[in-house]
Amino acid sequence: MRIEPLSQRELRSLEGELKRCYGIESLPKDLVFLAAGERKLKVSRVEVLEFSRTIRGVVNVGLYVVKMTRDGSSLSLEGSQLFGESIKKNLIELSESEVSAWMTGGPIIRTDLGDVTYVIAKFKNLYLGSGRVGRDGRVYPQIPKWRRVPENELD
Amino acid sequence: MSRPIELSDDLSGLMEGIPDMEVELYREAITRPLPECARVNTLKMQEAEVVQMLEERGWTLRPVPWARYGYFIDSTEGVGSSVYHMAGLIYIQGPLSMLPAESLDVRPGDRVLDLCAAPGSKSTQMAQLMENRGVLVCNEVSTKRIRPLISNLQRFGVLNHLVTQVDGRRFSRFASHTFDRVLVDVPCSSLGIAAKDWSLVRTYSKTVSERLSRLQLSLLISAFDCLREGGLLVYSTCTVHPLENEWPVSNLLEERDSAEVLSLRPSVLKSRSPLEEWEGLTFRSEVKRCFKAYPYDNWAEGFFVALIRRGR
Ligand SMILES: C[S@@+](CC[C@H](N)C(=O)[O-])C[C@H]1O[C@@H](n2cnc3c(N)ncnc32)[C@H](O)[C@@H]1O
Repeated sequence: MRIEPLSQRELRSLEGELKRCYGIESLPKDLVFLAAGERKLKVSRVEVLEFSRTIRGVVNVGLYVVKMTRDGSSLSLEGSQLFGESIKKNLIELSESEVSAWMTGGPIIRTDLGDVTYVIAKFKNLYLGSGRVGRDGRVYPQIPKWRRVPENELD
Repeated sequence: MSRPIELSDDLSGLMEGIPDMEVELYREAITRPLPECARVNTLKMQEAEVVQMLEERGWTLRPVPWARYGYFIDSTEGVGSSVYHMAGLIYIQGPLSMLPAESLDVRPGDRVLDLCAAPGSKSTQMAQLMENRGVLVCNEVSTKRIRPLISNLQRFGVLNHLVTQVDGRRFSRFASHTFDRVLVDVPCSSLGIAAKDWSLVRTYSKTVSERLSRLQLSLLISAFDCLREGGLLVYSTCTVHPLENEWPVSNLLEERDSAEVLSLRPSVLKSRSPLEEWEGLTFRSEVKRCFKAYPYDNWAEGFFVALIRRGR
């Protein structure tokens, strides 16, 4: 498995994109960003990447954090937690019952978001990844199927 | 009263041959469900914040005395399908299963190998103790079990990991003297966690332990060879069988002069002395320093944990 960090040019473009979408000013300096296929990006540490070149059988490196799409960038739950307080715009606060709805993958209602494609959801200090804003005043969480809470589990 | 669980003939024979085993207590212990237990994820939020969030949700939490971030949980909602589990704020793990990684003394910045890692309970625990710094290699041989391992590392927010798929017996061929810490949590007959699956005791055959013990010894030797001088290793099983516990550790001491067993006796846990002989086999006296608990000792799983240092 060959894993390459993003080039300086790609990093600048990512930085610009995250600033535009979420007001994130800069990328963490102690992490490396890696391309993971399907326009997905992961983060890892320099020493992990260097070590991965010295051993055999490597099948996975890094934590999946962002998916770039044609009209914006969608952060995974871990990506949004990683950027945390540096997210300055397009952030919505959920109530506890909305958290439950969000984690089932069901949409939540927000009619005041204007013309944006993605927002990040947050409950207290827990960041819950990006949701896609629909024209119908709903936000559709981008939670992968394997992480959704089954609906019948909700109270 | 529920009907007592039938033990296979081989298991009944084994139990009678282990001098300090009380078969009725064992049988009774595995009839009771294990307590619900989880680790709070400090890689995502502060421990106190998560605890407060869960308590506000109506959960009751009581710290596990022998493992940082571990809690016994009392909750009316399903912990495993809760929002908090799915969001990666907690990781469900048996209370004694937290002891091996806790005993390894991993530190931020260490280079750590988890030789038999899937599904990742102890890997995520070590990542947390490493504060996501250093290098954590999570190795697993089974293709089927790699995916849940990667998913759990993701859910827990582990960013200093890399996952390898190698037969652990061969790992030392290309990584000898490399790691500060190695955990080898071997596949075993699981007789210490039969409360989770009674078929284990109903169908147990002694050939299982005989076959496993050879694999366990090879994994342990390979794990040891991956350690740098002065490094620490933990060997663990969730079984009670001397061939899978005392025997591999004793044999490692025969094979590697630089292996030194350190004493492991957490005062908050009931434990018992490992055996020096069993069914005509004699084990090195140092195995007595290992930790051993049966399922009825602590209202927890049965576990065996050896802490080993690589000297000069
Ligand atoms: C007891 S489980 C490990 C549990 C894990 N440490 C945890 O805490 O989540 C043992 C694991 O060893 C794996 N295994 C079996 N043979 C192996 C080998 N030769 N090399 C590496 N892993 C192996 C099994 O597939 C299984 O996932």
